Amino acid sequence: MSASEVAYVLYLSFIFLAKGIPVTLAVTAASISIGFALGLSMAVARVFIGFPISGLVEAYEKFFRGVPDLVIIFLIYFGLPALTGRPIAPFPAISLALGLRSAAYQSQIFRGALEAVTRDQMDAALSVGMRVHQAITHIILPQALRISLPGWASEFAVVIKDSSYAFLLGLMDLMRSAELLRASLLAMGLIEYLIIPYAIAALIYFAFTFPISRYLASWAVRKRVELGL
Amino acid sequence: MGGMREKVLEVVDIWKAYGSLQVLKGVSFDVRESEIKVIFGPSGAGKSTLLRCINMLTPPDRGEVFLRGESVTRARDVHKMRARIGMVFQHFNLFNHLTALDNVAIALRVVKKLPKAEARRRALEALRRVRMEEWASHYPAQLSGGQKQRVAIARAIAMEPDIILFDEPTSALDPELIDEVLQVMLDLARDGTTMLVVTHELDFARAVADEMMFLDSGVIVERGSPEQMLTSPKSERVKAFLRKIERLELRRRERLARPGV
Repeated sequence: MSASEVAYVLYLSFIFLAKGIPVTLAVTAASISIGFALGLSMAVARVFIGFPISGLVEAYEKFFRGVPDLVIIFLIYFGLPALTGRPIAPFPAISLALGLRSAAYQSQIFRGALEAVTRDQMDAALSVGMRVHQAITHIILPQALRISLPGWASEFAVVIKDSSYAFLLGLMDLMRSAELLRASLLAMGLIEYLIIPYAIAALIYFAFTFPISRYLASWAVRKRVELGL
Repeated sequence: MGGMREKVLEVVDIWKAYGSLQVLKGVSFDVRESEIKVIFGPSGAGKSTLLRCINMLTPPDRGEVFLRGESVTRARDVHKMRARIGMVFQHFNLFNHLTALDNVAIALRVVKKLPKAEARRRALEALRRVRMEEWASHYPAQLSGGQKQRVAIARAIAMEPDIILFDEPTSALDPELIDEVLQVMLDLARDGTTMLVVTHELDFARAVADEMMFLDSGVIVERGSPEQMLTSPKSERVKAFLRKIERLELRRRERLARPGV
């Protein structure tokens, strides 16, 4: 183990892993967005429409919370083409799978937050002449979203980590580039450095998730206290 | 004198039950232009439910409410009718995520569809009337109870409603904060605002009420001028209730007179 070898491996790591970061971020962004749109819609439907939608939402949540991520991914990637007769590309497949899974969790986070906004707020909004959808948009949701931020931030961190499943479908994400680097190091006979790609990948994942739980969540809590929510 | 004025609100034979509990059993009265009517009575009498039936937050089982001759209870668009009926809640119900100004302005924008600048101008004007314009940029959590209730009153008057319903507006307040809210309500009364007020503030009733109605067990037991109701009520129930209120009032004054106790 020499200093120049270490420098070389670190240099390679930078080249390889930098390639994977955009894909990891893209999968995360797509999954969290799908989960947000679907999860929020389900939560609003469950709280404000009720029967029979609430039953469907509950079944959905139960299913996607009770099935391993990997099974959902394979169901979409291998199962969906069998149904539709058309292959699905890895990126939409992983984003959809993680998005559907995240929606089940986000729906629960948002439902709790919606229920935490008291009935008083709806009464006041209706009393000034707002329609129910206006009250939800202007009064209930802005408060519920603030209340849900700490829980949502940790779900965001989960999705970042789960995006590493993209590697299974052959996408060049952070995990796959770490894997490629390991293979290259092996080919070059740099056996004692095989831990480095994964160590650096771990650091990068941590660098993404830590600020979210540390700062976003505590900012959200502070904001809630300020607003008395 | 009231006979000359137009009826703003007509409440006709309102009934409401929660399960097997009959809360309102045929309540009828009306409120004319610029009149102030006070409803009082023991807790559980149905006072809040009555107000909530009037603006259909809680639809009554039976009976009808008219606003300037138009049915509220059978309105095709109940939201339009509610925009014309202001409501001030016991617990203020300010929108927690909005500043005092936006609490007042939001309905002007969303319901009345006013442009931003105009909504802001009217909201500030309403805040000025309740002497809260200096607090316009504060959030509810930064305000005292009395200040919150004044913002809530501004929110109601900014919509220029035909009538404002007050649901025990001072009963959630610390004693020393009650007067600032009552003062604002007195100002509104003097400006000719039509008001239906559920309250146990007898001084307020004596000063401005055109009529007092005693509600107990879902029926109006007795009604009359404040003079008659407060000095020579006919019903034993009213007498007993007034004695209780006066005792509580006295205790409050004593507490206020001895700060720190």
